[in-house]
Amino acid sequence: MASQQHHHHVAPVKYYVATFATLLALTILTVAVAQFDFGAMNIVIAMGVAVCKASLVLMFFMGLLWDKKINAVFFLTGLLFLGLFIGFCVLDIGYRGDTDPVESLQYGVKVPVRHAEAEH
Amino acid sequence: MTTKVTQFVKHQVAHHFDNAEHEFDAAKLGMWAFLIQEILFFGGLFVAYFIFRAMYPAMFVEAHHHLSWQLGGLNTIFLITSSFTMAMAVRSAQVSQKNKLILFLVLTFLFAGGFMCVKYVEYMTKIHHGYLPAKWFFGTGTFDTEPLFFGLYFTMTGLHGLHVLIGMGLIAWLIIRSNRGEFHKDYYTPVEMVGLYWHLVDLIWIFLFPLLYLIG
Repeated sequence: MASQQHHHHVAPVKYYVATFATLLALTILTVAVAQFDFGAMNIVIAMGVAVCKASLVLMFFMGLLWDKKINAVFFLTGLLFLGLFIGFCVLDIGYRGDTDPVESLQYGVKVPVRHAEAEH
Repeated sequence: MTTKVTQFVKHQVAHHFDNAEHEFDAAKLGMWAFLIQEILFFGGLFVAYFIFRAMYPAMFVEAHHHLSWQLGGLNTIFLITSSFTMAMAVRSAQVSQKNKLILFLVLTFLFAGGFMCVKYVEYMTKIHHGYLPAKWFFGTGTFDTEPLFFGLYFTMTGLHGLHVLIGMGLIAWLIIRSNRGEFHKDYYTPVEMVGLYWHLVDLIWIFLFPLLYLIG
């Protein structure tokens, strides 16, 4: 019975060791780069390195590379919605007021100018 | 012939599955659905972070200097190492190496414990110096919005730390079951699933570390 069972992909140890070494190297890189100020690029560089590290963990440690594709489809669909969530919120906070008139209220949050009386 | 043969417990496939493969695939897809749900609920906190960071960039830069990037970096190394040992534990189960499986699980547990110890030191320093959320804040800062940063810091790392603690409990459970010989090449579903959960905890920290400790 056991011989009829399909056995899963067993990755060679070298893949795990190489992933581990690369993750450590990228950690050192991200800490080293953070000691310099690149202005607005700081967050772009830090997130770029983080995305590289996350991809390595997902592909090798979590085995998405060798796995059934349906698992990757599930994961990437979820990421798409996370992207929509973050993307639209960042666009809102970054560009609010560029097309419609706004005024600054408390806490520095911009709100649309209201013309309540003009509408009646 | 004095070859020592490890005794393994045979796994019974639940009756509603065709075979072991069917059972394993169903569990794994369910696990991925759970993991993406985890990412989406952490997503809310990341959105809060990005919004407040966009509103108060100077405050974030000042506040993040109160966090030690050295301790954060050490914790990053602890978590990455524990992720590696967890991946090796899953691999050991796949090739029925019981002793290695237990060894790698114990190592993973210890690195997770190391992470929590460093976290404890960090939290105590913050609490002692008053770098706390909202009305509990009594540290010194140029900006009156600084408690916001520490609100985000404690919520994000606290929720993450809770996941580490839960993970440690699950790993301890795996160690007990591995010791009974329950995991081998024909059945290692719980090891694989806890492994995926553990890598997710690492994954979230990979983003928390630069956002909170490095660039504020």
